[in-house]
Amino acid sequence: MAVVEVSHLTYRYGKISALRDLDLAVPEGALYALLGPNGSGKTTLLQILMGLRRTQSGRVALLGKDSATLTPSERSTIGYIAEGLSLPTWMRLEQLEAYLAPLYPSWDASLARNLRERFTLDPQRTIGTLSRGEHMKAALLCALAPRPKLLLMDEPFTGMDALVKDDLVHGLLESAGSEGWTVLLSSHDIGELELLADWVGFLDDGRMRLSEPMETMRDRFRLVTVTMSDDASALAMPLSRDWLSFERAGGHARFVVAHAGEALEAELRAMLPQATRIEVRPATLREVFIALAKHAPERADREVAA
Amino acid sequence: MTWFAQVWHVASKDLRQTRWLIIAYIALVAMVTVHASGLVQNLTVLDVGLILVVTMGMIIAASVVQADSPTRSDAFWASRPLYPLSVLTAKLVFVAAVVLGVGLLGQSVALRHLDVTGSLFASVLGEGATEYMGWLLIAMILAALSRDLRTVTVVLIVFGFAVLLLIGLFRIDVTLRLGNREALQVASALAAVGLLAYLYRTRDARRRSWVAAFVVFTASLAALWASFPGPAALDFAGARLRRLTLEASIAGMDTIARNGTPQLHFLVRGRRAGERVTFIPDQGGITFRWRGRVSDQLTFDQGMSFSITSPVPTQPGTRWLSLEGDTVSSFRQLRANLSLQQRDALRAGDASLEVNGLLVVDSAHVVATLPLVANAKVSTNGQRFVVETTAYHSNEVQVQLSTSAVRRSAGGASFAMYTGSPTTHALVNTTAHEAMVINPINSSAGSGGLVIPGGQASSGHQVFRANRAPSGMSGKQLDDSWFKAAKLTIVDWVPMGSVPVRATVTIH
Repeated sequence: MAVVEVSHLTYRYGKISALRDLDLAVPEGALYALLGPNGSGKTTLLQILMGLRRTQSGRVALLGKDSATLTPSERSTIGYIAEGLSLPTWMRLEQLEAYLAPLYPSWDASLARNLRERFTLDPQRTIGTLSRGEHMKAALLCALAPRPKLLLMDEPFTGMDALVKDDLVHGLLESAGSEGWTVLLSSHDIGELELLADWVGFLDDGRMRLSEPMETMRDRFRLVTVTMSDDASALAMPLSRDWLSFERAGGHARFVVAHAGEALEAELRAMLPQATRIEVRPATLREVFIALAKHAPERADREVAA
Repeated sequence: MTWFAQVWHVASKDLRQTRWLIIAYIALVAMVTVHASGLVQNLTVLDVGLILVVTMGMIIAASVVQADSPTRSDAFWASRPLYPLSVLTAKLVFVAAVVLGVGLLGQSVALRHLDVTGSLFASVLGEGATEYMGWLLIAMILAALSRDLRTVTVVLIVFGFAVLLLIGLFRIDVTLRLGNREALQVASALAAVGLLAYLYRTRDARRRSWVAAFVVFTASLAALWASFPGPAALDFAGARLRRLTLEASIAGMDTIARNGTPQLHFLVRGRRAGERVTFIPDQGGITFRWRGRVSDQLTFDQGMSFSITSPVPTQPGTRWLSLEGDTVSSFRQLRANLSLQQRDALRAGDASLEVNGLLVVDSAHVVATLPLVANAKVSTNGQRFVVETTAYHSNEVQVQLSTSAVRRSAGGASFAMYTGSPTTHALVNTTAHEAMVINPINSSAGSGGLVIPGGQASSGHQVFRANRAPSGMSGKQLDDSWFKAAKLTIVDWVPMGSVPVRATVTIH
């Protein structure tokens, strides 16, 4: 069952389209990494999922219900963290917990205490005096303590140092893994996502370009390095639409193959008899991200046609 | 958590968040209440207390809304399991109970201290609640659509000035156009709450929300600024006053011929007891006709208008010891540089004068009657009169009187100065069947708003001097017992209407 289901979602800011006929399905228990360059529509999508923006057209369902008709008790099973989310700066952390606890029937005070200790947060500190990292830890505490079925996180690691990030990632992994929560996470921090996620989606210019399990993606995307003999002109340009992020320097070429099969290497050798060396290895998430970000379908079409 | 429990939960949070602002607000309201009650006179900064209270109230209302903004996408509450309308209700309850409530409490204390009771008390409070809530709702809408308090302040100032400029430039008479002010106030308040509910439910801050806000804001400001329609009883057409006629006659024919300054004697007929009639000549309203020619260059020496006053209503047979008590007619000098031919025509009786103008009629209304005893006090219909001291001197008696008056405000006039019609004061001795008008020799007055809108207060101190030998006593003096038996009667002149009149003097 998909915990998040989005179909034909379109959202515009005036004349600018932020989301275009977008479809998305996040299965239950998945830790879904939503990738995309700046301005691709990730934040808008998460805000719509959370009900912070109204859908203009299309359908959004969370936990099997239309997001517009979710009752507060149903919404209490959804956690939300965003980089710009403003916690009440005048409250002390313990006051914030006391304010939120009655709103969530499933609020777990002992989990809140454990997280506070793990994150070394002082309950007496006012939110306004917390550092950026501590602020995000407090936000994560508030999102996790109600033991949500679904957790939406928008750029939670932005601007954090490695230690804080490690704390958050482990806190999140432990909680989500042990409870079977579904997490939809957008981030620029691809390295962390690669550790966390078991599903990945790539959003570009308001369209979902890719959405699949991490394992499938790793199988499908391969990084190929080709070394040519004297005649390098045979590999002056990509020979297939599936070759992304194509780079060539002298007799060397490197590219990511989007739909790699078991026989990729043999196919390449047949295609490039002048090649003296062909190396094929699974592409990292970063390499896939860059390849997809640089090669929007329109650009890829143009390059192949040329 | 139930819907109602959430209202209480959010309102309690708002109270904790704004506690220091609320404490400062309560302190301000307390100071303004003390000032409006007349207990403190020398804190001139509190003359604008009402504006300070309303401004601070609007700031609190705006900050409470912005604490849980309906339109900001990063608003904390929106990602929590809260009913949008319970959040809005919490804001409205908070603003009504705390901001408006404290203001109304201060207003009530000030009104009670000024001895305002009954229907006036209720109407001033009701008017204040409606008007103040209107201002607070305006602040809430602006806060709902903007990101911070600075934006709210700037928009409020710019928009307020723009509306005032429009009213000024196009001379829009809101008094005439908005006869049913209360209905517009209620309608605009409901529209404001409806718009806030829409914003909290939909979180839609797009153009249509701004357009709706503009409409609601304009309607609210218009309703707040509109004045009450004028008293319906005023008879400006003079239908009930056609009984009044003006008669004029020439006094001193020799004077006319000698230096060209004739003296006219005016008499108003049809005047009833207790009426004051003021004659206001039309501009160029004196026409001099001689030997078939016309001249309109004549003017009055002693001013263009004059009053003819009836005695202050007293029991029949009361003798007035002062001339001011009953002016039955008026003498006016006319300045005219007459030519030799005009003077010849006058001598020959071949000339006439025609005077055109307006008779404005006021009716005497006895507001209060007080014994001449220190601390004697009368409160009636929002007005309070207190005899502070009486001093008996050999040739006169001095009375010090303090007054205060509270009236319903007239929309935008809440911030304007109150100018009541001048009152007449008389000492009436019913035992001796005698009375005399007394005039103030020293007076001070101030006026302004109360604690919140809805009422205007004025206060003053006057010192009156009563001559022991008034003109009607033929040189004899009134003794102390006459004054101790007399009562101070205070008369207000209530406008009745006006009627155009013309008087012709044929010079024989």
